Amino acid sequence: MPEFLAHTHDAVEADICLIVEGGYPYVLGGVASWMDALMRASPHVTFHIIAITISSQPKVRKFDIPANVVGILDIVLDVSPAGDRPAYKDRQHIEQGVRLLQEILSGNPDSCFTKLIDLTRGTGLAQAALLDSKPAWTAMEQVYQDLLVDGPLVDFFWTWRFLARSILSIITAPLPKARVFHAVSTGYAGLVGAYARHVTGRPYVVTEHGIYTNERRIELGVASWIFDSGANGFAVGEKPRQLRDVWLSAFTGFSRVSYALADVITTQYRANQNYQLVDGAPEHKLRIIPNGIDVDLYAGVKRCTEPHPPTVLMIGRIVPIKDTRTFIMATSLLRELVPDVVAILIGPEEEDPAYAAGCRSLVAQLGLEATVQFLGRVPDVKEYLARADVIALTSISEAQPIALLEAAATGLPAVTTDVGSCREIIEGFADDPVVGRGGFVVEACNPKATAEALATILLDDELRASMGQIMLRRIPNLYHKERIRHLYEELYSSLEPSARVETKPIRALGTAGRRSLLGKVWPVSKDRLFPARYALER
Amino acid sequence: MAGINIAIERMTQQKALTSIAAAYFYAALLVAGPWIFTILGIAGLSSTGCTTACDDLTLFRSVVIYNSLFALVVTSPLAFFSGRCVSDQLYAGVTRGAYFVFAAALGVFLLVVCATAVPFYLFAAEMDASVRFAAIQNAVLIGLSWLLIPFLGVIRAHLSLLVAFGINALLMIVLGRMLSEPSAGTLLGAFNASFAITDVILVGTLVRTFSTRVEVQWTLFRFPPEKWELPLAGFAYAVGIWADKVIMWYGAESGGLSVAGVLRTMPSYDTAMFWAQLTSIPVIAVAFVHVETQMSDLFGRFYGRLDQQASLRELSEVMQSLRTCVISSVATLFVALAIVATMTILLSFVFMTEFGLRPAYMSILRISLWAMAFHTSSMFCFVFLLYFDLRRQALLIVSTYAILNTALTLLILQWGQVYYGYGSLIAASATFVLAFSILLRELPWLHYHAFITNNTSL
Repeated sequence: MPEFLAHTHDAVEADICLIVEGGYPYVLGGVASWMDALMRASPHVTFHIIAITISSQPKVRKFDIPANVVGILDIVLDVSPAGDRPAYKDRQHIEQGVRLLQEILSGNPDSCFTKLIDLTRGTGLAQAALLDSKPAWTAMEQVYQDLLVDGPLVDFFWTWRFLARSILSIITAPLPKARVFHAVSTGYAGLVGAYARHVTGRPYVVTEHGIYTNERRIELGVASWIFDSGANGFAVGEKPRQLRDVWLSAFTGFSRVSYALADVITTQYRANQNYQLVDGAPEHKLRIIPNGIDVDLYAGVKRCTEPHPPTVLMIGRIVPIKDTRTFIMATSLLRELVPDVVAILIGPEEEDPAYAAGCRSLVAQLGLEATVQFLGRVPDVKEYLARADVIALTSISEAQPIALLEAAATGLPAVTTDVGSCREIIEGFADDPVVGRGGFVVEACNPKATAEALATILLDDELRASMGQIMLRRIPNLYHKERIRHLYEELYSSLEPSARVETKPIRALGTAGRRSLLGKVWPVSKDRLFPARYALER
Repeated sequence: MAGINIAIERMTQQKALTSIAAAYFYAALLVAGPWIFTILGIAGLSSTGCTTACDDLTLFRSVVIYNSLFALVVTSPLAFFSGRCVSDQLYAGVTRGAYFVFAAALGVFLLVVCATAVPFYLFAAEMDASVRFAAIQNAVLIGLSWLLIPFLGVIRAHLSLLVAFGINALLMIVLGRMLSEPSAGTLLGAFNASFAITDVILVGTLVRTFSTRVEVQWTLFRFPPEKWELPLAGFAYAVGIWADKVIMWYGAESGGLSVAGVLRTMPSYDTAMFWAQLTSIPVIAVAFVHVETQMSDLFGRFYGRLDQQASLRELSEVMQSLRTCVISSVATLFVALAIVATMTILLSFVFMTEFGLRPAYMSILRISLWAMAFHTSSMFCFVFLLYFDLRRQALLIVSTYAILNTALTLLILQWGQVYYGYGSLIAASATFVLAFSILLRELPWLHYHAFITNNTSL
């Protein structure tokens, strides 16, 4: 057994090591639910979880761990081992290490990631040398000149520190024993997968639900903690490089590393593959495996036949990316067309309490208290699916939303924004055996279009019924969990370990920032891993 | 301190000569007021003269010198520690733990007194019971005042300090006029009474600022492991100052004076060293008024620009100014100290008698004046490094001086009377070279220290 594997927390080798960033088992959400379903669907397959988090996030366990999970390892991104104390002779190694970090974060990693792993494992250098030493500071100043010249140094410092330390934290982490490593996104999870691939030689699969870089681009676009500098003053000829560009380049770099080292890259729908190709994914590695749901469970839901007011349902966290505000504004317009309409919002509000409060206050401002209901979490969503007439989804970014698939499986028509695979689910695709539309796809952030589409469905019983029927036929055909389970098991069994790359085991790095064991699972985080607004104190 | 030295610097910029003189006089009082007033007070008490009780006067002076040595060595680590602790708390806007910090420091000091000074005066020294008691009391009162000084410095209660020590000096002078042929016990009693009033004023100022409520602050106990260098630096600083003197008292072949069995001093060496140290005060006052003001201003600019999202280029400009300020200040202050030393050597024959110096002392005076120039310059480097919170480097400087001063004084002592003081001179000059080198080495890394070494957010 390789020496580095002997240091892992659990001696049992898992079939699959699932790597997740800021989600399962600590945060509810689409990807976390998908993971839970994936593991429960294959009880004969054993899993080990690597949960990536940061230390400051609230940590409460949100899932019961299935019996086939043999271990959980936390990698805390903002805690990394100090490594060997740098000596004068290490100056060149430090400069080289910082340069490699720069290349990865610049979005053009090539083989820099694997070189960096080999460097840290070969020299024992880690945070103390590559971030905290004087040579590292000098090298960082040069990186600043290259990446954000004349930008705010303090912001660059914290950005660099968080990103570089995250990489160091990942590439110094102990790895659990597993036959296949499976990252459920690129980003940090993809880096862990790539690291495992390089160090263990075991196969590595990356599955992208949404496109990581796109989602980060959206988040960075609205992030209030990023300062837009006026670095070029009144000059309009050249756009100054901004801090958000540094973050975006880093996430692009993470994706490229992940794609380069992955054996197979899967996504859930065709549109995503174009983005993956643009981000450097080799075409021969790409596959599509959609989400799977328990179709039988949802197909058995009996639609409410008793008289009830026209009901629109929206299922999802009350967070900006779901654009709940657009849904509320659409409801206001919809009420003019369907006066007795009822809009029900199901989903947790605690992830972004300020945004949720803003949504409630918008409801009050628009006088929709009698129309819009915030139900939070509900014990059984099927009860509400049975009473609803249409499901709405106003997200500005999605992958293949489980909530939409489950609603569609009950025969509910849908109005969604044109994000992720929503169009494929509603309208089908070129070779789709089920022809016809199961609802409407509208432009994102467009309350008027959303309201009109909803009204069309609510006011036309025949149309609503026919759309529901199309959904009832399309979903079992493509998204049945048994089909998906079979696809994943086939994928896992098709992957063979390659010869492990010989690297020296890392010295003296310890395991700070990692926790593992099954009985006492360490809680995690939210699914965004940016540091909170920071301050340099005297 | 920034507030008051800005005000004094403005006074120095006025056109009237009297205003400029008053500014520097006030600054001198601020930087060395307690010391000056204490010396004045002792001189006042000693001015009673003696015909029969001259041994008592010598015993009184010896006890005060020993207690000053004891108080400096014991209270310096505590003062470095507690001063920084309270300063950090005040910077964070917390005041409720300050009184506890003082109480804890005082408790430690009293424990050390019980463990060392009490048995020393009770069992080792040969003196009357009343003198023993007064000597112990004296050690406590001097130590208490020295513990209080950093606290009042932190809260910028400079005026209270001046008033307290001014009254102290005045009382001693008045009592000195009233007493006739006083015994050692009486002199110590008068000294203690004056210092008790001083301490009451200082404690009163502290109570007025922080209230008497002692709230236990457990963070105090976490402080030493984080900044262990500070108490150690305080100890090394105090040891460095006294090491050569103690060695001379007990090791010199001639010139020693012994009282009460164990209390030995060496007036020829002590007096020369004392006057040499006194000559540094004007230069220290200048540093206080101008250099510290500039440093404070530049530091404020650096962190202000940091808050305003400044670029590396903009921050480097401020850091460059800071570097220039530090290097030019050390160079200028050293030259000023050298000029003062040279002038004093040249003029020493004029005021020799008035200042209690004898021709036999002059060789030591010359050496000690040069030693003073080097040592004070080293201490400027030490203060600058502490300003940048480079504690280990600062500790290295004072430790080097303490070790070299001890070792070289011991070594050179064997070469005879002609070389008395050379140990201290060589130690001070070597320490200055080291201190300036460290400063030059660290100044280009101020960004690094601000962001990495001293960044409490990391």
